[in-house]
Amino acid sequence: MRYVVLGSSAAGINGVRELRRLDKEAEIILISKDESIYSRCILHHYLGGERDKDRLSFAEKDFEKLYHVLWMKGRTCVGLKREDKKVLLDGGEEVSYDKLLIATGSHTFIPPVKNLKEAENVAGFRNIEDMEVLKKAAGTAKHIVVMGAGLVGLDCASGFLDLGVSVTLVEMAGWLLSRQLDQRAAKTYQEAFEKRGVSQYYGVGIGEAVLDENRQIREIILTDGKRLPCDFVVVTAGVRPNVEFLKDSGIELGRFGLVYDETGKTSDGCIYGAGDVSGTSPIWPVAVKEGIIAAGSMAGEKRAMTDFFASKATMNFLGIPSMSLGDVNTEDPDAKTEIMETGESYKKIIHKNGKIIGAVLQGDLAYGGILQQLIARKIDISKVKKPVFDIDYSDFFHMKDNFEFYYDE
Amino acid sequence: MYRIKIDRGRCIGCLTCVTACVVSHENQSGDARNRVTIDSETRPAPIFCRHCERPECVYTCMTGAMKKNPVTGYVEYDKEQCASCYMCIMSCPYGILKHDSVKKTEIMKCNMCVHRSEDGSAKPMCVEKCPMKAITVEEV
Amino acid sequence: MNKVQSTCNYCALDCNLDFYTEGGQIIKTVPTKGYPVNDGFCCIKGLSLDKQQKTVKPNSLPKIRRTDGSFQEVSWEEGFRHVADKLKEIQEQYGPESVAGISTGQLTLEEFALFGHVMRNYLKANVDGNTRLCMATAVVAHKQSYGFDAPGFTLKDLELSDRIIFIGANPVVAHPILWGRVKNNQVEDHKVIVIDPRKSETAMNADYWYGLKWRSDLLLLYTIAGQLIEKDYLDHQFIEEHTEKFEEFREFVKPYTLERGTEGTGLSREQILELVELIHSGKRVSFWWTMGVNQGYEAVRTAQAIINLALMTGNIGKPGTGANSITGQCNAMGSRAYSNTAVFFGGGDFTNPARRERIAQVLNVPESMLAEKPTKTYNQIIEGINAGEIKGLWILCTNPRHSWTNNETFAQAAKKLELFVVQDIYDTIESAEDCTVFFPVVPGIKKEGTYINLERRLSAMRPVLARGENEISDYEAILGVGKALGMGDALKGWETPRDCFNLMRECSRNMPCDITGITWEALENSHGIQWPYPEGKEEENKEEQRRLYTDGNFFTPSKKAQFMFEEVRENPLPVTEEYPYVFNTGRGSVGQWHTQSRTKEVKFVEDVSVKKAYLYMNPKLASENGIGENEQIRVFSINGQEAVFMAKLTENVRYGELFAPIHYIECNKLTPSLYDTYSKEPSYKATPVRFEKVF
Repeated sequence: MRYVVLGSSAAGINGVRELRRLDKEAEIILISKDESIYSRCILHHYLGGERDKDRLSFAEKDFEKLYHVLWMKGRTCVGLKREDKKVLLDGGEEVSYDKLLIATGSHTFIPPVKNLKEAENVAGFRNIEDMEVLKKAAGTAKHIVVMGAGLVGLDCASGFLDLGVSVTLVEMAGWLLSRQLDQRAAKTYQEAFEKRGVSQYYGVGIGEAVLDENRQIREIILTDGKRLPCDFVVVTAGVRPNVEFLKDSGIELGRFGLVYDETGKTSDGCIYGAGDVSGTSPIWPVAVKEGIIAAGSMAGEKRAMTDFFASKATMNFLGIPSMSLGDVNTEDPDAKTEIMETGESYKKIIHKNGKIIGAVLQGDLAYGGILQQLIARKIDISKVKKPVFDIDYSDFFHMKDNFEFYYDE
Repeated sequence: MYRIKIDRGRCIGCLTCVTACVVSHENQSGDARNRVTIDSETRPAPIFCRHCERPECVYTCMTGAMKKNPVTGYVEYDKEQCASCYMCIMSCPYGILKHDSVKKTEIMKCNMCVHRSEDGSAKPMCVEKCPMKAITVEEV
Repeated sequence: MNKVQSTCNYCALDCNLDFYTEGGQIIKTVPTKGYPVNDGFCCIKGLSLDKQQKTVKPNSLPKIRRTDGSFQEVSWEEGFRHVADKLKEIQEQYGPESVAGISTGQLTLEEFALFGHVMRNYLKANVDGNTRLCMATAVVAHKQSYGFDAPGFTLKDLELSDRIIFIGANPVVAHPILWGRVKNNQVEDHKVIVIDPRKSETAMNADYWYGLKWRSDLLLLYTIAGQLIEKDYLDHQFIEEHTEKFEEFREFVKPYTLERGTEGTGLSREQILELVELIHSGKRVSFWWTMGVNQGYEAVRTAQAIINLALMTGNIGKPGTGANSITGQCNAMGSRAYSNTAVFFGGGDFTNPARRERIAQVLNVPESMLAEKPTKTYNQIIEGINAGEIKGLWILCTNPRHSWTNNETFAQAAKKLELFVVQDIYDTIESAEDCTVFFPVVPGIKKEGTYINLERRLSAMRPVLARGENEISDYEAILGVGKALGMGDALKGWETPRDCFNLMRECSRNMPCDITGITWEALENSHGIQWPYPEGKEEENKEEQRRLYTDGNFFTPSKKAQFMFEEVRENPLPVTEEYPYVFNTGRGSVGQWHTQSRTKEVKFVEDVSVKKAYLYMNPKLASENGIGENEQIRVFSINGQEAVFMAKLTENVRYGELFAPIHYIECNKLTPSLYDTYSKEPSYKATPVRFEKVF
């Protein structure tokens, strides 16, 4: 049996681990464009100089040896010959497989803003290669503009702050992290960034990049007509799946990306998918779980992905922790919003008909994990006779024979 | 592997286990890695890390700081590798994890007190100190 | 990071803790390793001392109530002046004893010493302490039996004993660190024995539990004594050489037959005989009692009945033995010896001329300034207020609106006062509701002074955190009022806690509790020092865990211990047809401080604390009355009061007996105004009640 895994990020690496756990004998080949294993979620710490390359790795130091895997690094897949069960690599090389896991991830999406695609001094915030470009820009550019104030945009702004560079944030929504936070929680960050010299523009987009003769951006024009000096743009406006190489393979691709079922299986029975390549939930824990589940399916252990709850995030910008779960800005008139504020923390929980539908915690995230379960599992909390902020596992306490906890639903 | 068995009926909510946890770890903050709370019927519930078979905190960790030790089965936390992103806090289904309350950088995670034994085996102080034998170390 | 070793000021163990601070904050708290009491461990209360005044904190300036009922914040000088003027005004109008104070075993030794000097010496007023609610019984028992209030044991005895007998004590909940010492006991075949009407948490962990009927402890103890004599399980030599009145005792217990014992206690013949054999077969038998014994109407005699058992079997003054009283509050012993309330500073009667002369000399005041008699007792003070005789009251660091027995009588009293000064770290305590002056003071983590624990160990409290603007200590508040009273030279030598400590050292010279060999500095970062520790005898006292009476000599004039006994009294408050059940009270959890005043803001504790008053009830009694788990009942007390509790059902309480934790104000609403004849300690543990379900 030969398993081939494409991609060495969250889904791919965890897929390899699971394959090896289930099948001690099989041949496993890992093919990745990345030269090293690194966590894309902490690249801002690398940009800011808080972490070196070694500490970007989320895998064991001796990963290849430990899992007995052949790793072809720095290689790009350019095509797939399903009828021959072969992956086509750059340079014409072909690798055959018995079962294939596609975990090629995603890439930065460059929105259709005038001159943006043409400009030279534009980068995404996705790969380690991007960081090298940004590090250089930090030394030369005077006016770095970050397009988008979502999780990645703020990572980027934080990384630059660690380098002593204050960027400008431009965000279409009314406040930063508008998907994750309410205005009150966002304000905490906005003020903290403000204090550190980060200029912020909300409710406006970048309408146009003004280029010089060398295709260098010299200025940007916001959608409200305001002009800002600019000599570098970082684009953090979402990602798109890396499915280009599958175009002619005949495998089913959907509106968002690669299509696979809850066991990870694609339209081809020998090919599985996991992670951002689906284009649906580009978050780390989903990628890990899909990697594990797909690998399980490949090696004959059937498990289905059940945890599709993806509207969740935690963040730590400028030392301020926050957690966001579910619908935090509901306009549902039947929903009840409860707020608790102390000097140190802000907590908001929204519930409706005995069920929690959204929550924001800021400043103190202690024991917040319970909330994800209550929201995702739609657990009825009306039997709990406690303030909603004090709900904990005690009211759901159940222990298996092996003393693990579980929810009895 | 070994896991701390909880005999909830014996628990009197004396918090000796919580005290033991803080004392054992000599944190740079007064935080515990376990907790005891009462439910709506006022029955105490010791809420302790289970070192899960399928640990959500490990799945969600984007730095490799949270790892399941394949030999001991314990879910180990490496604070040097941790990037303080708090995803593990959110993902723990039983709401056991928290960050330290002073610097907010370290995750308060049970390590079965392996630091207390010479050979790295489990030696949880909470179990030693519990006056009611409500928590015991058992092989599972 | 800075480290300060200090003393926990919750319970009488006086654990030592190392506080690490940084930037004016306590970063971590580590129980002091190697400290003889708690060697690297503590309970949740001590560990959470850093949470004190984190979220609940009054302003730092005193408040005086205006005529419209609202409060006005004033400067400290103005606060001192106001209180001093009022005290004098009331005394001038109604006489010296029209003002009184209620102090506490929570303060430092120096603080209640100063309070005793200002109030008792200078003003000739009465000052009792909440020690009265707690240790007064043991004090009287010790004084009569041993000749001095001198419990002789060291905590090490718990590790050396082969028969550890707890009577009316529940250390698993009340003194967890003491229970830890029991767990440390490695003596082969040692037995832990619990005598308690309730199957307490300690009983659950004991080898033997004797679940006697409520208030039958004295009868049981006399019955045991009778059996020991009958079987000749005695230490004749010890009795002969070191005790008095044994023959009278032998005659006295004859009518306390096994039959009478079984009938009255509800224990079987076999159980009592088993207990007798356990005592006899032990080589190092130790008896440990606390509030179950102390808080009764014949409590002194009960405590002495325990002492008698130790004396007659020679189980005293030797390793692992003793009749040992477990104290309640952190400085109960300091309060007993240095508060100038029941005895002089360092002990001795107020009428003893030699003692008067010595104290006057040390304090450098005319002998006439010293208090002339022991204080009126706590109950007399409250009764005095309600009778209109006492018009001014100053309470420190205590919450009698909650903790006083039959506590509505305190509520009534509070409203009658012309001056009611409440001095505390929290203005949220129930007692502050009706105060006319509130003095906010700093908690122990910002104070300095000396504590004496249950095994006579002095230890140092040292400031962990710096004080903020206008923040003052209890000591400074008392001193401020003293100065405003015009005490002048009478306060010379009292300028700081350290000065006061030196005065107290001198007062103790040649007394049983001699601490002249202990210096302020020597207590810092130390293992604590037990009294006696006289100057010049440091070498012979260098052992860290010492006990008294090792030579068999006691503090009576004859140096012999006294057998003290009295017929078992008929219960002054028996159950009746109308009030057929017994309402017992006690500590309900480790984390909650008595009236919850100091632990309400500790999240660890709040997480496991029941928010409303509750009590435990036997399931049979509950089902007969149609009461389910957590349902509400209204309890009517023989004292005329009623209160609502949530019922929790457990086989651990006997049918007909209810047990209510003391942490809720409802509890002492129902307890009676009944006291021990000699100690005047309230009988908190057995109130006749009836109840009905709340629909």
